[in-house]
Amino acid sequence: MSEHYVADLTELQDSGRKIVRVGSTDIALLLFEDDVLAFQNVCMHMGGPVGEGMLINAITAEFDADGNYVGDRFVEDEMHLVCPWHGWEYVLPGGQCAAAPERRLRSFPVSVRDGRVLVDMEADTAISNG
Amino acid sequence: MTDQLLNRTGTDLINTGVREGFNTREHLRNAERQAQDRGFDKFTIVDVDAHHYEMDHWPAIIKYIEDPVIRHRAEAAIHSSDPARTILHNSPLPQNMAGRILRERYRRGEPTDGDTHHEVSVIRRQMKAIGIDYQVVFPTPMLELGLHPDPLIEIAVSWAYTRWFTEEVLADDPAIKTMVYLPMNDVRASLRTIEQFGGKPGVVGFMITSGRFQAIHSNKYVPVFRALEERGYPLGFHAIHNAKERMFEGMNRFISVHALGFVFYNMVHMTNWVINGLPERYPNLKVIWIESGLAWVPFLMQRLDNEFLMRSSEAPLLQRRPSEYMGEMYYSTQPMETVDLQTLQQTMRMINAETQLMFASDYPHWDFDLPSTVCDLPFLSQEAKLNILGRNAVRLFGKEHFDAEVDLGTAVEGNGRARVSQQ
Ligand code: FES
Repeated sequence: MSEHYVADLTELQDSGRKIVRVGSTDIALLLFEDDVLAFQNVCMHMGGPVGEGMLINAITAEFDADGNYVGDRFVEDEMHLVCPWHGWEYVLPGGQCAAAPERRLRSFPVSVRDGRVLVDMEADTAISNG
Repeated sequence: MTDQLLNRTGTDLINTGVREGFNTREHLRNAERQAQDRGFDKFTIVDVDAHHYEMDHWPAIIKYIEDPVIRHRAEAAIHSSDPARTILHNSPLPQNMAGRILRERYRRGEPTDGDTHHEVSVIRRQMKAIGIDYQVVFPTPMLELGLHPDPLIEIAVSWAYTRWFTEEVLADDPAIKTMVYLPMNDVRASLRTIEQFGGKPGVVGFMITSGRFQAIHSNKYVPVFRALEERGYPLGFHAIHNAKERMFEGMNRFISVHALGFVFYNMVHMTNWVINGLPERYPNLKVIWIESGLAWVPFLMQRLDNEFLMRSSEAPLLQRRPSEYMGEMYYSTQPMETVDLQTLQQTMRMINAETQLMFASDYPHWDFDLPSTVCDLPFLSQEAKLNILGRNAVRLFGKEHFDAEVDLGTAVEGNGRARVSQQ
């Protein structure tokens, strides 16, 4: 285990997110529901700063009982993090690519102790393509 | 005292005589006199068609859109250059994916140091960040001008743009280049454009926007192609998407219009170019197909070859198969279809990528590519990478347009594997 103190929880509560650097790795911390998520700030597409993109609900197409398309709808319980470079979307909290779920952002376990946010850098969960 | 009307950038537009503090009542003072003289107040007048400008109140209006997804799109469009147009009657969705792509919104107001032209500063920044030494820059919405119903508008606007760009922007930085817009709805204006801007610093070629309906093999264009060939300038066909294209009217999504639009127009022009024998008629005119990606080229090669073998009588000028001519043309990479590397490898073989393909970023547009899209490809040789990333462009445009010591490189560092988006 290689835990690094990266932020105070109050900072995230204020802004919802923070980009930190541990060694040579940029990490995007996101406050999502009651959890703190930590992703490498590198998109799987072309390396964009994924953690600096829009947080927005997933979108689905809605049909009426007769099978007629009636419009697009936000999915209330599915949030996406959108890479600002070209729009690749990642499902929170896991970081799976919405259009290719077999791919996932590199993420790190986070613990919060005494209001301090700690990231375990040795336990990353996916290989990214920085 | 009169006041000068200011345009959006605050510069003098024209002395209109409009009074300071425009006031509608004052503006219509003579109408009020007529009303008094004629006693309009003595009877009822009903005006059954008048207007106001709802765009002036756009944010106040769209908050009442009930569909949350469409409301979000409308809100995001506020940050585009023409918010009402974006949602009302242009594309079914803006390029920036309802605000998901952040560049368009913030780039315009990006602070730069005051001594250098804002465009030059921003272009330099993007080049430095991406690692680009020379950049050929094109306009954006002007690429639709070929579809304008009034050819005089195409002529006037493209002329003005090119004067501005060559005199005020390109002059500031020899690393920034352009291929000049040809107003092809008017041959004389196109010839004047070649005369005027050929030889200007930073001009490396001329460009036809592909969104236009006139046949490219029309006899009227003979003087244009001759003029370019004589001067040794390459001719680019820059693709566009166009949601109002008759065949695309049923397409409700930007992704659909964009995916087809950028290849559709270039496929039409390429087919006419080859089948009518223009490569034989202008053998020294180099042609570049820009911003259509690559996947369409092998499709069209196979399609045209197959039909040519059966109907060669309809393409009497061709000495060889269509694909052979196409393999001698030039292509820009972006947006390079990278999801199936085996297919991409075949594509590159068919288009002779090692000598005919040139890297393009298309930055800052939503689907831009980085040089890593080329240099991380596992099947390309070092030589091929160097060629695609720079040498092919220097050879095509001519070394005279680049620094005397332009460094064509000896090695390209990939990361040893393709991007994760590539399988
Ligand atoms: S780099 Fe993230 S979408 Fe392209």
